Amino acid sequence: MNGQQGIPLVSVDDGMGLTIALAIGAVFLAAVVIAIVRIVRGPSILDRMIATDAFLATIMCGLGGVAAFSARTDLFPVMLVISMFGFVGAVGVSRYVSRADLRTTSRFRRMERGQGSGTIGTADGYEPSVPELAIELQEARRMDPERAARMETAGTDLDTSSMRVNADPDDVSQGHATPSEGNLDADPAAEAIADSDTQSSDAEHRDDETRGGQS
Amino acid sequence: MVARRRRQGFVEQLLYVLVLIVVWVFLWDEVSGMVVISGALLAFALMRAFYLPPIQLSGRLNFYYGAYFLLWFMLNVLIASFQVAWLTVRPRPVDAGSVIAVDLATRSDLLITLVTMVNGLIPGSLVIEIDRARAVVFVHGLNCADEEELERVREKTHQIETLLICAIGSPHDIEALNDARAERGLKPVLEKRAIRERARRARAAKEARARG
Amino acid sequence: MTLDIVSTIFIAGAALLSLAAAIGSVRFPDLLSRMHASSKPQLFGLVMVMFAVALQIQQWGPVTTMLVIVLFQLFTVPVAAHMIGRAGYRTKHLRRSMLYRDELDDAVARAQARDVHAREAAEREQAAQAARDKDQETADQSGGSASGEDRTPNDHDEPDTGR
Repeated sequence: MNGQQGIPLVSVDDGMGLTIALAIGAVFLAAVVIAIVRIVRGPSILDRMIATDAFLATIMCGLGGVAAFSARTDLFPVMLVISMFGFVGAVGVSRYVSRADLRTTSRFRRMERGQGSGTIGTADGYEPSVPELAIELQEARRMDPERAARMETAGTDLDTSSMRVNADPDDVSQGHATPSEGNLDADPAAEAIADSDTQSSDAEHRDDETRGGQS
Repeated sequence: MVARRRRQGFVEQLLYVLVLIVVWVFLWDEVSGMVVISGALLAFALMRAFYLPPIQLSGRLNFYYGAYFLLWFMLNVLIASFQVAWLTVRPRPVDAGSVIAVDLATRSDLLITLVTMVNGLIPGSLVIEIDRARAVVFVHGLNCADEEELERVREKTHQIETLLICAIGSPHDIEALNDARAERGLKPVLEKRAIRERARRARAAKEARARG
Repeated sequence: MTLDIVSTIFIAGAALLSLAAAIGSVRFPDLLSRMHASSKPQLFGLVMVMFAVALQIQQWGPVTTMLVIVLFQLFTVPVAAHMIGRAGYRTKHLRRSMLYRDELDDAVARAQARDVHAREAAEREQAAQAARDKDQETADQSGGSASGEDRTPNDHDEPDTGR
């Protein structure tokens, strides 16, 4: 990894090689611009993340092309780091978006154990103590008053919300299903933290995609 | 609380350390004493710091099927990449996709993970959800709008699983695979080897019972 | 000279695959389809670029580094795709009406129906238990319990009224 080695493919005074190199560079540039179009347009955050991944992979291939054309090897650590960023970004964004398990906060654990209710009294009535459910309640009040009534009286019954939180161990939508082959600790707290889904706020991507179609 | 995982065997730990040292040497591009020693120290430190649950290897590696799997895999990636590239530029728009449930014959962590990853690498299929308790993977097929395409995606997943089990599956997995194949009307794979292993295990179990 | 031509062909192929991936991410109608198009062909493009670099730089050092890069991509791209697909399916980012056949939905619906059934059964059980406890309480309230130890323990976040 120390600079120029090997046979450069292109030198400045070679017309044909330079043209080919510029043409390939133009193709990479077009790919990058089109990926940026998707980043700007994409209705949801996941679309943007996918396009960012494509963008980063294109840059990696482009750097590889530069390394081949000029026969230099000092770009390889850059490629490695770019791929790491792409991966960590994709996983981070998907964990933020998926909101299956809200029980990682201590407030929820206490609610589960029956200590303290899920609602706190305010001047206007009862409000859920957790922002995600408060937003759900607001929306329910606006659109579906019967569900709002259910949510208020049940004391933030998690299962009536649209987030699929089910205690069924066979439930597929939980995703992390049952521990396998006896190689996980039996500690539920550790398992909750090790769970791959964390909570996210609905307000952030409420306007992202129309909740249209049939769902 | 008691950790219910078994401790890693010495051979497994050695394998991890060797692999990490090899990666370190590859990153530094030279095989000198300094690199190897620093790699060994770093590998030990990482293994202690991030002690992962042990992967239950089956202890069996069939080189012929392993090579066949690698070649099959690379050929499929090649063909499918160009198929997807053609889908992106053809004038007719892409059809809807579909999510298919595929029952796997294996119950082993490592094999389910490998099937998921190989599915994720071959363009045209992607695993969206795994039901670990029943060993069902839910595969999303691209451009899948009629029954034959669905069956093709299902067949491809089954083929991936078959090749992987032939290459690195345990005898238990091979038996389960052969049972599943018999249900679907296909001939069993690795018959002689599976029979030999079963006979060996039965003999060992009988000896253990006779002893203790 | 032939080495140069082969390398150029490989790099051009990688460029075209990247372009196809980008076009796919714009043209495809659905989140999951875009997922397929944008990450998978580029893996193969990276492998081709690696071959081109290996042909130009004919030493083992950089080739092994590129091998590490390609292996890293090989292991992380499917994992990232799986997680994004899973997140997209669970939340409302994926329009499920666009799927031709959705067997995951059936499985989830079955599991939820089972769970509702189980929960209702548990609630009925709990109500019956509470009724039985109430009868028990009225039975030994005459016994006189002086301690109010049926309170739940004090939590720091919700201040109690000085107990």
